[in-house]
Amino acid sequence: MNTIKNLATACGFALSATLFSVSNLYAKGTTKLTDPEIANVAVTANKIDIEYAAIAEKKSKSADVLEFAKTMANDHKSVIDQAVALVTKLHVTPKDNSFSAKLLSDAAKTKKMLHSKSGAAFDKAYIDNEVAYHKAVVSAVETVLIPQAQNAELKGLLEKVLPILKTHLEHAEMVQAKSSGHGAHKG
Amino acid sequence: MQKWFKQNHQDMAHTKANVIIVSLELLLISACTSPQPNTEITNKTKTIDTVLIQNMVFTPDSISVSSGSTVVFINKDMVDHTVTDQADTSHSSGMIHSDSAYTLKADKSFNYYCMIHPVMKGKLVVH
Repeated sequence: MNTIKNLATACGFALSATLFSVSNLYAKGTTKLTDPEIANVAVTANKIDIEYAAIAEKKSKSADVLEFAKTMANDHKSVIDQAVALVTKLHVTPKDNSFSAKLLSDAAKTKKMLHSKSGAAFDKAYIDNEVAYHKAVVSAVETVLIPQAQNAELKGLLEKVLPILKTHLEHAEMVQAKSSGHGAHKG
Repeated sequence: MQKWFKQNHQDMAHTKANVIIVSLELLLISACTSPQPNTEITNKTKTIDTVLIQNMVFTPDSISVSSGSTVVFINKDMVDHTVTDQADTSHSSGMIHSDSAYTLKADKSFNYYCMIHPVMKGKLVVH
């Protein structure tokens, strides 16, 4: 039984690991993103986490998980609203790219995995994925999106989003530790 | 005036974001019957302590204020926050939306946190 649970967790980590590997490719500078592509990656990454939250809001009965999912849905919507307002102001049309495509293909697999679970197994899979996903996205924003953004306002928006993502990661780790019986949050 | 500056300096030591508002009021003290009313200028000093909510942290994360003083929490983040007493969650600001503020009258010390982002914490010390 534990082996099955560990396998499910490993799947979540594996998907985020592939995102890390794509991030690394871009971070090394072998492939560069343009500002319209960066805007597309930013909006896509936020939309994906809203979709994960929607699944959690339907499937979970854990107060901690539901509160976390609600925060993800609201915060990522606020970030998308700001990003859309900025690209509208800058007359930039977000452009599809291989980074966004990778995010979407990984997300499709993760959503399938989440839909296949229920009860405590779902809660664990969801929160484990949130920890792994936010680690991967924080890394992508720090090493790819911010350094490669050319427009100062776009770079500034990404810099404002980064602490939000880091707080989400800390919050996810808190829920993860609490649900696994490793104690309450830091502080 | 010297006393005012001393007080101001002490408050600045407590917080990086003190705002001092000095209002000058003209008070008419003479009777209406007087052809040339006497005027007196008095200085009234009001201290407003400010906590900035920015980059997902309360700044300063600990603030020490006098009892009865006003503390304003300004949310500069793009997401909502709350200021909620850790010991009594019914003692809460409610949602503080982006670019909005919450004002409280400092009457007791308490540790607070953001209910939406529980890793965000701060402390209000009333003396």
